[in-house]
Amino acid sequence: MMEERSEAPLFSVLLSILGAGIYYIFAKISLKAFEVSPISVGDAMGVPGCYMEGQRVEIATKRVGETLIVVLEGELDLATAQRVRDTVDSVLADDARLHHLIWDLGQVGFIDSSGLGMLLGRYKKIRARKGNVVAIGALEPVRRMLKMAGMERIMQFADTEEQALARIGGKH
Amino acid sequence: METVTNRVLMQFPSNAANIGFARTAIAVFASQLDFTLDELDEIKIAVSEAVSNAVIHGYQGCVGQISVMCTLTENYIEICVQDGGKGMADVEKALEPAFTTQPDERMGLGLVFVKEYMDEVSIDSAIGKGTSLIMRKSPVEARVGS
Repeated sequence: MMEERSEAPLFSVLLSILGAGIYYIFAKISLKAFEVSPISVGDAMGVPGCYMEGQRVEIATKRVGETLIVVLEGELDLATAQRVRDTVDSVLADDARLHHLIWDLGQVGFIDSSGLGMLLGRYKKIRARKGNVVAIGALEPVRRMLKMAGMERIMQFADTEEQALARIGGKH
Repeated sequence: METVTNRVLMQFPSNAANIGFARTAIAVFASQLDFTLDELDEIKIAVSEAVSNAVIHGYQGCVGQISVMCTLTENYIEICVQDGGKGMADVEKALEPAFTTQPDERMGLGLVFVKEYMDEVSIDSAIGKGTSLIMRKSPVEARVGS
């Protein structure tokens, strides 16, 4: 009888620990479902705070020889330009052989000065590699903004990827 | 004095994700007047630039409140974007093309686009108190008619 009494509290403690463990795991799973990963605009602008979530832009990249082709879909503003900037800079940093850049803007429905600034920044990086930048498929509202910002004087324009690659020259 | 036909007030934190919401909502609101699609695109750009300025320059990365008040009359839309942020020392200089306090990748064209696409623009700013940017636009047919 004495042995049975001493095991009961031990069993109860073990059961509590097991229960707490299960609760913790389920709580973590539940929280994960609602988790967001904010990117700091502030970090991008060199100042702290002001969180955002990148949204409304899809980015696809591919390499053709020395050329990086970036296909964008969505809207380019302060919130989304940072994602594009990070993605393109990361690919360029990983491969010094990439000398040229083609922006496929055919699915970009909106651009403001934040998006234009991002394009200009990547243009500077490519020019530092002695390369060329070509934009393809820009819709009229986007083309108008590029023109107003003077981007037509520094970037080339083409209708198709093939035309853009031909215009760039270099190794494909 | 124009009669106000409709009015909406939006308030949101200076979160860049709200810029797209603001420009889209205001374009929809503006469509109650006979704006062309191009004109609605121009309003979207102007709102995007004004709200971006409040996020970047007004609060400089800190989170604060941005208010956007839209007023419709029979002939024009008036949009007031207001922040309670840092304020501008020299409003005239801020309106100059290519002027920017953050030259890294900012082109200094935000307010240039606002001036280009809206009929009237005025800025009221005080250091430490914030900035109000008020812009007005009429549909092209209303402008021709008047």
